[in-house]
Amino acid sequence: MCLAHLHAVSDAYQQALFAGEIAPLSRLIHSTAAVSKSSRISVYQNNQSGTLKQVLAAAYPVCREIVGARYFQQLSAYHIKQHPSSDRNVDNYGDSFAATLERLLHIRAELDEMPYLADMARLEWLLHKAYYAADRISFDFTGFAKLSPEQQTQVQFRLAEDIELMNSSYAVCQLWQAHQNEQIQNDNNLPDFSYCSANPQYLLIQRKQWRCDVEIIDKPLFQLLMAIRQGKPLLEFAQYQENSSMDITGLIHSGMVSYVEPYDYD
Amino acid sequence: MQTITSISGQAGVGLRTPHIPQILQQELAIPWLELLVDNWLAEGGLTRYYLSAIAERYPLTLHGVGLSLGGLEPLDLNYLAKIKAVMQQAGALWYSEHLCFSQLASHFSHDLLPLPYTEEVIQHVSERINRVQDFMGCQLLVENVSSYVTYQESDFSEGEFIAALVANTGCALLLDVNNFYVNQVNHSHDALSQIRLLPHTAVREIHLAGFADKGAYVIDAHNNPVASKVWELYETTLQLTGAVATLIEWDNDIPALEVLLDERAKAQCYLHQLNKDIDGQQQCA
Repeated sequence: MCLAHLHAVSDAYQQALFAGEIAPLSRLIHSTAAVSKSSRISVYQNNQSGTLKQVLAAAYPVCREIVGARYFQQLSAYHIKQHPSSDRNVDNYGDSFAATLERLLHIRAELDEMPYLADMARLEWLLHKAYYAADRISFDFTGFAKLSPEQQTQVQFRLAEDIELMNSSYAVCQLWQAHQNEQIQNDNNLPDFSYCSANPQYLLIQRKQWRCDVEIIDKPLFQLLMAIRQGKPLLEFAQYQENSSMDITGLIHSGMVSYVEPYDYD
Repeated sequence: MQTITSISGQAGVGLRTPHIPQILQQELAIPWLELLVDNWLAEGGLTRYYLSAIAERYPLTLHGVGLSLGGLEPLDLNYLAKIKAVMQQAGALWYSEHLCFSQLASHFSHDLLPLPYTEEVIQHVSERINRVQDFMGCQLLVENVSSYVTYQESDFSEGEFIAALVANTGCALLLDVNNFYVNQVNHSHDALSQIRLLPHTAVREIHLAGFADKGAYVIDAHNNPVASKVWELYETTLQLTGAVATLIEWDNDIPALEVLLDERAKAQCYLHQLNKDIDGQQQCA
């Protein structure tokens, strides 16, 4: 089955929706006196961009509040043109929005006073990911206890799926938290977050009781969590644990290190 | 889990996020709910918790928008496997999808793009429906879509196209009355004539929704009450299909749940009238 016509229709929609070129689709459809071909095609163009704009607004509420709804629409429209959706599930759209903002920070004068905006978008996307992540799996203490001391040093620990890590030169954690507080926003008492700190923030994002939150953690704990994420063995944790506010045992008991990779020790 | 196995003759509502707490906290006389399955595929978190809680209280059906049933790209079996898992977890009565395509090579329109009605496309979509039914291990309900374009190459009417698919695959139908009405306005097709062409015994579910009137055309926006013309078409359609399960959809400018339930009650009224054969004794809409 060659499906030549369906291929032509599919190609024509790609042109209309992702390149703004409606001529190929116009050649394939009917028009009526009351409704032109371009009006008909524009319904699909508007649906596509409208849906993705809604999705971005839902995923990046703080960025939207910072720049204002109208300007956020402009940023969204720019991003959607550059990045058509490549995921079947529309809830997964928007992962590269921070990178778009990063590029725009250098060319849009409106963003001059918001150098932290891309980092805020990065944080919001990680919160979004954490919200939908798989539930935690209890650490298998019994199974771990059955391993020999040597085997215990070789196992690979895994972070819970809802845990995300990032660092930023800006106070995005405080800024995000301030935007969760309606009173502070209404009083317009937000402090200035536009300065770049000499000491970057290390952030831990996780889901607790269905809600996602962000907190600042110390650098050694950040490094320890990164080492676990990278699949490094237990023996390599020592260099970070010494000055960390939490060691591997504490992480296990807090549920953040959810299980041990099943190895075949036979 | 609910033990009701048939929702035939019952009017339900499409569950949307703002209404979830109310649905769970109150004892509401809603015979069944439909979930937009694409919103329930998360592996954990509140979504998963809600799914279990809702399934314990209400019979559920699943409605998909992301499969690209008529598309050119291979069927996404990973996506279908996730839907199958949700179906099992929720004890859902059935899974429905749209007769359209949405995947365009490596990108997605996230819209329901209409198919050309040709013999070749009938064979293509029939094969894909059969594959979905085999994979899911159950009958698929396919839904007619609203559209804003028709193709010069189409050889069949919408009703003929859908009837051929049912004949080829044994799939069931989700008949969206509003979509047929939207297409009537947008393409000057007679909606009832198209509905008459369908195999009515295959209709398992009916959808009703409101559209946005743009003057020369209408958009299937699901942002208004069901229009009076659509209620009229629904009443006539029920004469053909019998009292099948009917759903009210409202996806944009979502009103208070009470408004949605009032719409549901109207649909239920029509279904009761049909069952009791008391034509004309009660004004439903």
